[in-house]
Amino acid sequence: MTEEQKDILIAKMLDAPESLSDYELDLILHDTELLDIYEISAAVSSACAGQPEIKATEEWERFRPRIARKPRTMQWIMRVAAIFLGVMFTAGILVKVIDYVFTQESAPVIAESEKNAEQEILIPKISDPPTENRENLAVVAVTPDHAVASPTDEIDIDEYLMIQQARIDNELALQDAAMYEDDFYEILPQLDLTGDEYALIYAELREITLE
Amino acid sequence: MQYTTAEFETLYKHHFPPSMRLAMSLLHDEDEARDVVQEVFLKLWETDYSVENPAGFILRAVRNTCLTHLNRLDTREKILRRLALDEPPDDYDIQLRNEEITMAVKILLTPKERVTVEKIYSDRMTYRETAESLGVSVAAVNKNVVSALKKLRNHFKTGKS
Repeated sequence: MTEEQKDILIAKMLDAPESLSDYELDLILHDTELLDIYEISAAVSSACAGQPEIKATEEWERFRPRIARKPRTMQWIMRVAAIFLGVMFTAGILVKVIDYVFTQESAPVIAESEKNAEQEILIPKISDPPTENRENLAVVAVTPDHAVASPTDEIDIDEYLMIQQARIDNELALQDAAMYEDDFYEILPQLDLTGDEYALIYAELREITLE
Repeated sequence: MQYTTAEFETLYKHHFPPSMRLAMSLLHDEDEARDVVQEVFLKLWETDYSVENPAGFILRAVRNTCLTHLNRLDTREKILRRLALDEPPDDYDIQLRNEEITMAVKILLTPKERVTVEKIYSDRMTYRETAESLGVSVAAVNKNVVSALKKLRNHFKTGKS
């Protein structure tokens, strides 16, 4: 590039930079001397530009609406959100506590007899005819086949009465069986029974007690 | 927030002028410089952190914000606005630099060169307007400007070395 061409490019760069083509711009950026001249030109422009008159009071009046519009909005929002969450959390805990307390108080009182509904119903069972002595006889508790309602289940009143009646009947039957057994062994020595006769009587007695 | 409105007003009125001058030196645009400085003061108003040296904070923030704005401009835009293409170093004192250049223009340049530079850079006249004002050709104006800039470039390059 000749000196004349450089001078033209410098004039364009300083006086009419908007007219620079991409090629001319590229030339400037890749030429050390032209780049130096541009940089010092920018520095002189900055130094000689002069400063506008700055009126602090007017500038403050211009700026003040900006801080009035933003009264720490974010902090205020965060504070409100924190209070709201705290209230909701506390209310939730209170609701849970109240619900738990009143649920416990309203639980139905279960009678002792109902609590014992799972008690085994004893059915007298006569073991095989004794061959030797009385100690071989035993009343064995047998659990009923049907399911027994637990205190926490809902019990139908009719079913409850039936269960109670069956319990009473069972107790009476046990008492009868015990009485029959006592009578039997009381008269046994007086009967002088054969083995077969003894077995027959024993079976009938068993049949009676198991009804 | 660490300031009351009254305290902040005092702070603003005291530190706005030097901040504005700094922003103007970097951006060469009054409105843009004002926006940058106001943004910095707004951040200072909204922060909850205690700022020990507000003056230092403001000037650093203004400088960094201006450089961020400049980095968004392409080369052509910078040349159009007569902005520096390179980012100044961290310890670059713009005010001191401006004073040195002003002094160098007064001392190193011939009267013709000085007048031409003042009309082009201070008065923001075009080459044609300057030529008409001084009664010379456009080529002469360009010759005086180039001569002046080369003297200044050599002076500051020599000074650096």
